[in-house]
Amino acid sequence: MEPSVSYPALHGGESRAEPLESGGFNSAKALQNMAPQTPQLKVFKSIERPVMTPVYGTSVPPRGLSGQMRALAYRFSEGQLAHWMTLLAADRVDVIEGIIEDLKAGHVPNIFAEMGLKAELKYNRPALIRRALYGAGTVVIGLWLFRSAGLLGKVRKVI
Amino acid sequence: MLAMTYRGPYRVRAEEKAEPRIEHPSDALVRVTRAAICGSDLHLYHGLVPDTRVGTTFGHEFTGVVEAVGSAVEKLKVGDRVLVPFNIACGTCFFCERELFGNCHSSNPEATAVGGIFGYSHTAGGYDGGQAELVRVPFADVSPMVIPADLDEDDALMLTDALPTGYQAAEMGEIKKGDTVVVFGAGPVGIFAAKSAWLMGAGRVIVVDHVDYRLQFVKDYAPAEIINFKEVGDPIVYLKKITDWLGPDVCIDAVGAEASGSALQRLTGITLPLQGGSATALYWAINSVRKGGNVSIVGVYGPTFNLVPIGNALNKGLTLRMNQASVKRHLPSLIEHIRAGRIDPKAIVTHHVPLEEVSEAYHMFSSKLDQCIKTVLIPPAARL
Repeated sequence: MEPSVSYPALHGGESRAEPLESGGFNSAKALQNMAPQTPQLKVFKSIERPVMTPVYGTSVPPRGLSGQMRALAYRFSEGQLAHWMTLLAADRVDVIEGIIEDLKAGHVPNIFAEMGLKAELKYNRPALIRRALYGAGTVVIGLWLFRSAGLLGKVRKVI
Repeated sequence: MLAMTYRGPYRVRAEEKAEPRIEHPSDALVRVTRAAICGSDLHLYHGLVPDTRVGTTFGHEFTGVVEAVGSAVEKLKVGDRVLVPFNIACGTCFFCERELFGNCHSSNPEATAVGGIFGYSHTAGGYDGGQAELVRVPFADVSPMVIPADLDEDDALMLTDALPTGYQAAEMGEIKKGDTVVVFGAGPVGIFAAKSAWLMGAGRVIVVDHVDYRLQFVKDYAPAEIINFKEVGDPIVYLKKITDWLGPDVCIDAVGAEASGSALQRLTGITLPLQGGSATALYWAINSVRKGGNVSIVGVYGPTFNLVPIGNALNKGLTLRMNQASVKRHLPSLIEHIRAGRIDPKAIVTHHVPLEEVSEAYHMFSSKLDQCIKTVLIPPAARL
């Protein structure tokens, strides 16, 4: 399908960015001379780097068990699965720690609200009701099977 | 200040949080006026990106007004209206000197493979993002750009990531005049990649997805031929069939880690994170492109490894190109395209949502409710 208008060839392959300044803030020398960010909290560094970068994020410092797991993860290089899998496991532990932190602060997290239930109610109500009915049906069948466990046991013996 | 915070997979909320401060002489503080939710934010939201800590604020697509600057900042001044590219770039390292601003080596201590990115986990430097009232912007003189007075703010917002990423996807495809280009993914980046393919000389543009309303949008917007892969059987065979059985010249993966279309890929890449995401789009791209063709990858994958047919890529003599977009490099060209009316970025914005309703906004975008394509969050003060 051809576009309705013709476009001039203006290929992005050529660099059109402003040249970096040779002096002032952007020069390598200036950056080297610039004081690095003052550490205010624990920040991990990849072992594939010799030194810290001049700037870094200070979003959430490592804490609790998840923080210890992250410290362990950063002992491995980025090429090792142990690095990433330990971090992913730490993330899951962090979620539980986050709920505990909320409760300690007297805040009971409204998990359904955090998951955007209002949007689901507004835009996808039939699917939500259908899923709720399936869920309820599954629970009812599960309870029925549980109560009939004796019968199930007999069937298993026959098999 | 009010900020979006991550609480766990599929759980985010808006809450009060300490304001950021100048931590380095190169920093600026920016009061956010617009912050978009990117498709790659969904990888964080779904808990797939390692070292995503509870309490982190996401958001790497934002515009705002400079509130304060550090002592080394020379170009920006308080009150400037700025767009802030998602790359945190020093401007002086080996990679920045080569205009690879998406690969800056001085902005992320926690990894070497990826540069610093706002609000994209500690794997990308541990920076809080722009889905908040205020955000700290390091190396403020390098990437941020004062928004030209004639540029609409939603257009400027799309210039922070989605548009340059789609544009660079087409650029990396090394499209030659008359080429057939297939774009996998009809999300914002795929839509812009399809649009950009025409600008670079494509003779035919085809977009593959399974979400009908998005396919319909890109059909009209790019414009492009569209394929719902759920309706064509084997999409690789179908693509060959409609391209003289040779395959398209260029394939672009604008999907990344959460691709649909293969139960095996989803099981091993998402349900059990045994690989760095579901690589179905890339698998299709490599297998459908013609021999000697180009595959361009801008879809985001995890840092481990993926099931892709690299043997076929070798046997077919393919060129694979991929990178995080170097946003700063593309801004002059893209602003020219916008001014000339060749691209209308703001047209993909379907929802403006108050920052306070961030939980609903994420769920809506993630579940593709209400025909959502691009969601923009607006802090309370910016709505006055």
